Amino acid sequence: MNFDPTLIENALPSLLYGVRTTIWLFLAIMGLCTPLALLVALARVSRVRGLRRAAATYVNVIRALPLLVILYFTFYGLPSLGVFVSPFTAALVGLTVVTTAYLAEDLRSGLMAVPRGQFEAADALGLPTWRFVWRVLVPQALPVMCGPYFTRAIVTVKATSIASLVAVSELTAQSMAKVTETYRSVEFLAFAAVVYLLLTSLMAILQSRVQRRVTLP
Amino acid sequence: MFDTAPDAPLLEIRGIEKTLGEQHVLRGMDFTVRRGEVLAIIGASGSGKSTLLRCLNLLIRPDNGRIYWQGAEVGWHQRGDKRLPMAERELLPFRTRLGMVFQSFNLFPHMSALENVCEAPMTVQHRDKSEVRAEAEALLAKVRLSHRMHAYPHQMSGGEQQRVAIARALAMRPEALLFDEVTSALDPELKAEVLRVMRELAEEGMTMISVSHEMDFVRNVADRVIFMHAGRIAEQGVPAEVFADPQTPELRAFLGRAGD
Repeated sequence: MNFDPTLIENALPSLLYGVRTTIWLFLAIMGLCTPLALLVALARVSRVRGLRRAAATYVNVIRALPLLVILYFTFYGLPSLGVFVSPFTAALVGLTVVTTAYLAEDLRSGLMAVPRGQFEAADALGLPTWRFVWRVLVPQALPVMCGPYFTRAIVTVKATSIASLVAVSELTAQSMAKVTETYRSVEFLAFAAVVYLLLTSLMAILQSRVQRRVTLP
Repeated sequence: MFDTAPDAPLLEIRGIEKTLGEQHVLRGMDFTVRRGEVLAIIGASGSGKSTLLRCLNLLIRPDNGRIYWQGAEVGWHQRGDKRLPMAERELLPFRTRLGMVFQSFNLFPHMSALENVCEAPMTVQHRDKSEVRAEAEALLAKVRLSHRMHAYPHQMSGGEQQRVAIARALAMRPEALLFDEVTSALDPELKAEVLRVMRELAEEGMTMISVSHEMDFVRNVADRVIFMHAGRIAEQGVPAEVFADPQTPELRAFLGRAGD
């Protein structure tokens, strides 16, 4: 097998553009869906039945649909409804809607791991809901949430490659463009694979750092 | 806040009923608690004691019945013929008048003893930080834990944790304390240090409602005892008299077991 690294070198500006788009897309998705998923997870354990039901419906409907279908909807469907957005925004919206649903379930497992007695103690002391959430519930749920959260982040790094199917020039799209252009596949796919590996490894390293920070004394 | 009557009993319970799932746990309970009184609630497991205690501060909302705090009804609004349940938010001022201590301590594990005690007075009552801290230190001294102020719950024995929990409840300056089998999870020697604190509180005139299996405590500290059976009050009165002359076969059986 002949592997020609100069091919990558020549294509580097266009490939790095793809890397940058992938990283921005990933950061934007996680930045949006982290607070949203926490809200959905809190709604799912709320005392208010309406909130619990609405959150459960959202999660169950979104989980039931293929990611690609949702992405095609935000890319092709929204414009036909009169909402015109860039491919990047369409992909961001679709991936955020989906990731929020899955991440909400991940975070809910952390919230549910907090013993009932903590809810009772906070109620008996009269702690207001939000105060309870920030001071008691979330700090105790974090150590449990940490693993699933970063697993979801790693899944999301890889899921951004689907955005290549809706005209986003991210890493996979840029690599495949070069494959088509040069009729050489191994070099560019290897480049893409190494970048995905680096990004996901970064998440794994971050996970062990954060896990140490949030573990209870 | 509440339309209270000064000469009314501190707490008055009328016809409290509660069904949990299929289980009719409370089948109509009536009693009153006067200020400064120590009331003990005893009964076999599953007789509804803990459920009753949680109904008193509305951690559990009874299906039927009324709760009066110093003569004013809490938990529901009367609107003409209709009774509307109060929102959770409206219950908070009442609930914080009653401190609660749990069998499993339920301290916040990520906060030190001092932080556990300071949390609610600062965030619920919005009291001045240095004032709360000084009071918290005094309360921890009162439960003989001055030397454990900065320890985390997992570094403390069960008896120490439970005394922190008592200090935490007292920090809200409650008018009565609810104790839910607070020594049941403790070794005998750890029990003694918690019971000593409870006895001191009783001597200071704190109103206390205590679900307990500690018959010595009930006999020596409680002014009145309620024996619950199948969701009702089977017997009540001054502990020495009730224990000396049980009227029901259930209490006789219970006392026989408790004496073992």
